Amino acid sequence: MEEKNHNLIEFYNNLGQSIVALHIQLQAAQKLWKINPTQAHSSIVQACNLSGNIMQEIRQLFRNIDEE
Amino acid sequence: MHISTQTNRKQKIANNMISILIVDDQSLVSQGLKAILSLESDLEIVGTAENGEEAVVEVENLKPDIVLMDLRMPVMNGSNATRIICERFPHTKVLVLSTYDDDCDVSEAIRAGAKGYLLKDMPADELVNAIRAIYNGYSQLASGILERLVSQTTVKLKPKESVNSALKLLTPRELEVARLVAVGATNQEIAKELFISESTVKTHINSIFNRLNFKNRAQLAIYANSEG
Repeated sequence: MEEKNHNLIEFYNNLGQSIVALHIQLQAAQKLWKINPTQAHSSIVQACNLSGNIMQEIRQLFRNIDEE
Repeated sequence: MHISTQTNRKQKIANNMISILIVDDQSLVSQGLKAILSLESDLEIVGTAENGEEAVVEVENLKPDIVLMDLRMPVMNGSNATRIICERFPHTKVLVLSTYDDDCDVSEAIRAGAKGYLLKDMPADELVNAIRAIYNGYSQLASGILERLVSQTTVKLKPKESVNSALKLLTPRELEVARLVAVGATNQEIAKELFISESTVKTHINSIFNRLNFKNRAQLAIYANSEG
């Protein structure tokens, strides 16, 4: 039980870190889209990849919970 | 003449640039912050580091004005790096930029000497203004943190002695200085306000720190604000 809690805390910690990175990339895109569209596009690509990774991690967590 | 005036102006602008080191183990965070902050004409990102140990080395090499410091990092965490940087390089100001704002992280960072504690998901424009404020000697705390710390300080102190009584340890002049620090005034502004020299202000502030056992202006500001 304790280990499960620890893993969940770790999961939420990583999730928070990833969402913050996603947020910063989106803010960068928002600021750059008029001044430097190429760089803005690159930030959006990063943000898309990151949100994809976040969803994969969440699905994995749910699969693990199902298996237990 | 015109050219030399222009050159001087350029040099002046260059001299007034705020140099920043970004410390974060997530490259997407560093990259994003770099892209956002580089848009400001008075901010210059001079380097990045991926953990506290690298940060200390880079501060020594680059002598930045401001370090944007993450806390939870491998090898050496941000609080330990902040402590070392504040002790060894007092001219560099550390602004903690964290994902979380739990009380333990906040108080550890402030005790380590950080001049500010902000969250990574704050609006970019507010972050830019906070960097300028820290550079100019003000403290910055994310909204909600000050209130929480004040309530904790007040709760801790009230059973034994009121917050007021601790401030009574100060001389009237020190109290005036403490109140100005609490509203975020720089040493220069305090000197002007009280018609004393900046070095006298520094002496008063050191004496206040010694009497109240504080390490930095942020702690004093929180404490003096809690006095009301």
